[in-house]
Amino acid sequence: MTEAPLEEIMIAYVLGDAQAFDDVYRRVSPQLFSYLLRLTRNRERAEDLLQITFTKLHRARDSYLMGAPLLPWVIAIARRAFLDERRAARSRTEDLSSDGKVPEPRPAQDADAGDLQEAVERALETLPEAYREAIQLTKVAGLSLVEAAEVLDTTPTAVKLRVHRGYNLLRGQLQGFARGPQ
Amino acid sequence: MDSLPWPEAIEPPPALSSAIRAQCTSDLVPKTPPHPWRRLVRSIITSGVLFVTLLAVGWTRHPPESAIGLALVGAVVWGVVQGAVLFVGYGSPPGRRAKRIARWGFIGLVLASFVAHLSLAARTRLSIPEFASVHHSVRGTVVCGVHSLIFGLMAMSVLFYLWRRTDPFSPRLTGAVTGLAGGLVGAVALDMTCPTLEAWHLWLGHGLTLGLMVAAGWSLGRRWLAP
Repeated sequence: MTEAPLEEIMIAYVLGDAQAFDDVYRRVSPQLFSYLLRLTRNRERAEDLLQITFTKLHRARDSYLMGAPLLPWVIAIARRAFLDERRAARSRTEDLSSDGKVPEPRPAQDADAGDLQEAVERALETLPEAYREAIQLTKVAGLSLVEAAEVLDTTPTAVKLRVHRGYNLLRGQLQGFARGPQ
Repeated sequence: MDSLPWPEAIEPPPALSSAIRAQCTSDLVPKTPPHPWRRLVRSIITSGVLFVTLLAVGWTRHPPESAIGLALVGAVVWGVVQGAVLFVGYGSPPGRRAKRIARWGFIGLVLASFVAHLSLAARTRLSIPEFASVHHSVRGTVVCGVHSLIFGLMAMSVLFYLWRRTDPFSPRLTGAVTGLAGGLVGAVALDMTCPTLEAWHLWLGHGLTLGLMVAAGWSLGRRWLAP
């Protein structure tokens, strides 16, 4: 059985149907949470941002215009919340770890350890933010180039270029994996 | 690269999901989701009423120098331009609007057309020192500019209110279009009722304010239009 389009379910939610919210949440939250996890590289911040995003969605639900693509709409809200939060954090202080020290950058890990999916996951983490975000939106969240461009406030050509450059970097990272463990 | 096993989407923790669900459904009251076209029609009617009111008040105080028929044609043409600006800005739901470059190009085209219109309407042109030295010229320009900004801000505020929190994708650009639409209401109404036909007065007192309104809309867009 095919599911109703997300946009229709969103309208039902705006009209006051709590079950529709559950459906929207079930279908949107995994992609959104994955996106936020990779954007923030911090589980707690990703969880906070997920909650903030759904709060904003709830408050602005009567501003959702019929016909607007819902998943990109929600991801764009999340991205703006992330950028606002990062800007505010930068103006306050550097991020400190729980013991009050500046956190160490993650060590680069060998791409040829573990299975391919793990290697891809790790290689994605080492990409520059712009490339990682473009690949995340198009490959993991499943947005089209046009939708990803809307979320990233840029052109589809620029997204295509970022994805392409990200692929090239990934290819380099995963070459060791393709050769297999020495 | 398409054959790579891309990471699966990750489910949020159940406790967090429950908290979000409680937060988003506890006060769930039915709301009406307006169709973009309905809001667009409301926007066109509101800015049209404001435009006609300003024009009527202005013409009562300073009747147009040219024939009333010609002045009315001018008002209708600029009214259509305002409608087109609103259509470009809000005719489709966010995420399905025209390309950014096309929308910026349209803003530039309307601004250039308005400046061209002002240049054609000018009957005299003082040199800059002359213009700056004549007290009433500068004062008149400032008065026109302030009035144009006040009327433009009134129209822009109404439009921002009608479209608040609707565009998470490009709120600044949509804000700039809103500034242009609001600015046109003030600038065109004032231009059609202002008796001064000196070029610097028109460019600075009427044209520059339209540019300022676009800038104001751009800077306020993110706060007002993003959810």
